[in-house]
Amino acid sequence: MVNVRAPVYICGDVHGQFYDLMELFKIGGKIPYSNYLFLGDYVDRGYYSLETVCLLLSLKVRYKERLTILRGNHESRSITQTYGFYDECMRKYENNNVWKMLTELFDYLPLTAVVEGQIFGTHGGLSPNIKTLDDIRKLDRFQEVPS
Amino acid sequence: MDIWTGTFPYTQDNSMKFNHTNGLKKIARAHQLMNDGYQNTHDNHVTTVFSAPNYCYRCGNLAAVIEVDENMKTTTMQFDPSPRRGEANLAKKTPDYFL
Repeated sequence: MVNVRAPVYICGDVHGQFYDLMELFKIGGKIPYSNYLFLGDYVDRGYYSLETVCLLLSLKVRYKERLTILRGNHESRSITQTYGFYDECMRKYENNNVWKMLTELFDYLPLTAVVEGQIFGTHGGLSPNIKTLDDIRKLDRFQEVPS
Repeated sequence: MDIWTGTFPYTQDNSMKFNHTNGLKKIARAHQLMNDGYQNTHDNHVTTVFSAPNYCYRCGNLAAVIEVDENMKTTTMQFDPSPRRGEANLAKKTPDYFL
């Protein structure tokens, strides 16, 4: 669980729509001048999953305090093979090395964030097995999304 | 559990209980296409936000982001898709015989 400070812009699914992500940064302001919390699903369906996820990861490396990126259900090996990200990597690199590395990285993305102890950010929603924030902290999240 | 999709729908009761137990005011989540880019549900205990405008380049939906200011006041801002590259030029290629 990541603790996020306000002010921050909370964003939902992007799905490889790179140029629309640029529109989003026009609305909220560019990093590092604004803070962002993304709730997952950067890849699949859109035409520019690679560019989208690489930009967000680069921004995270460069400005780690300004950006928080959570894991969505599409940040997984199985889902990306069906919904476009795997095919896009194969088309752009002619091998699956980059897909392998990125999906391995996805295993390390955090699942949830809390803004100033008040707003709980997550991709999908709640689970009947999770009652408290401590239950989430106990999860072993470094793995492929269980099916 | 929904035996067909394997999903657990959570009710307003679940959300309010979770927020109350953990001292939270709101759950911000994504995952679902919203025509207006966002939707407040469960008596404002849950906000869904979706930031892919015209999802799959065909859904015609708006996108949104939630702005949380330094006083924790939340405002939702909507946005349209970026102009699609190539389309503007296509219009200019109208053959002369239509003019």
